[in-house]
Amino acid sequence: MKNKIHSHIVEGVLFCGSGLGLLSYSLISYGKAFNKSWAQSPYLFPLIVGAVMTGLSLWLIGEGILAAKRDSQSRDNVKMQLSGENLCRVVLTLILCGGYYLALANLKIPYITIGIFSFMYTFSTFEVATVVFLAAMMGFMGVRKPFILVLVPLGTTLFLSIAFRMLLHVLLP
Amino acid sequence: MLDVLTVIDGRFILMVLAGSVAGLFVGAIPGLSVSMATALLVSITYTWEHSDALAMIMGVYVVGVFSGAVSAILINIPGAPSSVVTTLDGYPMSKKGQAYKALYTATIYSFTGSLFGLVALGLLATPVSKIALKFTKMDYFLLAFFGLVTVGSVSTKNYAKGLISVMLGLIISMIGLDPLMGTKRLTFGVQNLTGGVSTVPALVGFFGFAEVLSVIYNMKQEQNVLAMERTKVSLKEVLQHWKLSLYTSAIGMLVGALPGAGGPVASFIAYNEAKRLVKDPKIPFGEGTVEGIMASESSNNACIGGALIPMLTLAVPGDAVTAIILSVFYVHGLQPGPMFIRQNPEAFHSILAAGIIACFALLFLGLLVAPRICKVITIPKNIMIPVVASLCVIGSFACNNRLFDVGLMFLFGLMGFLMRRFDYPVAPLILAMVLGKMMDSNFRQAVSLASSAENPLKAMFWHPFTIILSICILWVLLNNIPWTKGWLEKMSGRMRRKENK
Repeated sequence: MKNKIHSHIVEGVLFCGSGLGLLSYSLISYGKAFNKSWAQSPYLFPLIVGAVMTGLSLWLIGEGILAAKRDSQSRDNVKMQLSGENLCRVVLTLILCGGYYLALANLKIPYITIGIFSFMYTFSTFEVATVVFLAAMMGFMGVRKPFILVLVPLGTTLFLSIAFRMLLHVLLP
Repeated sequence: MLDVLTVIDGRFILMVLAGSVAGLFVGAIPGLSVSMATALLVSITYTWEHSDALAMIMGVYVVGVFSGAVSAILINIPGAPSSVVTTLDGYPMSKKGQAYKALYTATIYSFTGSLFGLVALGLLATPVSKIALKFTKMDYFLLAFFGLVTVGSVSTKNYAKGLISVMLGLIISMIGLDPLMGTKRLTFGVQNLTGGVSTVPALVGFFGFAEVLSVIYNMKQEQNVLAMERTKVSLKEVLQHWKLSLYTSAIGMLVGALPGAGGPVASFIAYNEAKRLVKDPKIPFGEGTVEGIMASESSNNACIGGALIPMLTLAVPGDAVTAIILSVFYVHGLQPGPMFIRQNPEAFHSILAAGIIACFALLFLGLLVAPRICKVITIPKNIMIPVVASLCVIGSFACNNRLFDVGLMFLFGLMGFLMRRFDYPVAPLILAMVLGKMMDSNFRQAVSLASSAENPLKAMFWHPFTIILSICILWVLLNNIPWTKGWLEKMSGRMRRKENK
């Protein structure tokens, strides 16, 4: 426990890096710019924000150092850590979402129109990818009943497609 | 006020009602939030007439804020942050078999609170606009800055984290072309960032996808819904607290008008005031008293009108939802500010009319539909969350029709999730993101104008509003920075002792 670095210190260092990065970006860009008046420079505001960010991160680091010295605070520190098992679920969700994104970006399924009496329904990449994504995500989140795993993704995608593409004229991926 | 009637027609009413029904479910289902729903609506409604878009969004906003109380009363999980206080007395009442009475009280006082806030908006918006016409560029910058330092202080226990969240929002707002000269900033060669970060994917990411990840992270057992027995409740008995409700509504309206404070703060203050004023309640506060629900619900709903006052007259949003509504205005080419009511009276009337119609929809839905949706609010999360995730994808894609925004939304969602885990509030970031460009341009124009004056500092700060705003900012900062806070407390302690002597 004693060797554990307080989370505020880690966060502070991270934000200090971003603040200093923004400061140096503003100074370098200003140096390269044709206009040499700070009053009109587009880099004045980023410079101030960078400086304030650096100051705030130092404040956070200071708080972290003080808190690390107090034993009672170390318990809060442990509470703030991300738990491995739960974080694993989040990472897997992000991987699923990444797959969905890649499918939407790279799959090229031609538009297919089905006519049921006078009702015409068109589906394409979005619909196919969404059905697979919803079923995969529900399965991942613990839905085991086969009829829910089939019906809910199909029904939801149909509803979203009709509501957005056909009724609200919103373009879908 | 009667001009409000000119914008109302059948289509307008239908739009408000559709929004209200959506708001009822969105607000009542834990895991879905009003901010998330309005963020998604921005992307859907951007091709609509602005009156239709505003009608639907106001319906979601007004009823959504109320319906957070439904789950707060029935399952002890507030559907919205502003309903947290409602759980203190709402759930104990349900446990005693008085769920219907609790819901009835919440509905009646949400209705009166919302109406109070909207009437205040109608009456105060024009005078505030007239005052705002006298504001200088520096005043606008300071006003937005005041909003950000305030929201940083009320949204988290750690002030440094609140302010870091503000700075992150300002950094995101600076990406793209600068507002005065059109110079590229912080794009790092990414062509899609030249136009800046669109508000919609950021909002959907921070509120929608971050919520999805948080729910997945905290997957818990489903809550049981307490039985709803329809008991006879007398309106006279419920309305006996009307005087106190006017007071708590006024608190809500004023807190709502403060940039950044919003419903949760208002309901806590109003609840404490009710506790202080009601000396001998029939049932103690926290054990299921009607006064507790009344104070919380009337104040958090009165915040709606209050939060819209600075948003419409000064372009400074009062809370996260009004920040999103502000982006609706920008998407539709409308520019809120001191001249807004004069130049766009129909948009102002649309907001007022939609809000008032939504109040009546709230009354109807709260009394007749809310008691029957107990089962709906416990839709299993493993079915609801995947659907919300795909809605986030549609919402972020729809505003610019490019997948780059979907990627940004995922990134902001992850960022929002991590911020929540490490206790960094998201609301200040969103407010800063929305206000960033306005702050940047006003600050630089003020500096640029003052640089040619004999005494630049005097030219920038020697105006009545500038002095008042500077003092307010200083006051908020001194009261929240731990070292200066201690010093201020010592000073006030000494002064009190001197007075006592």
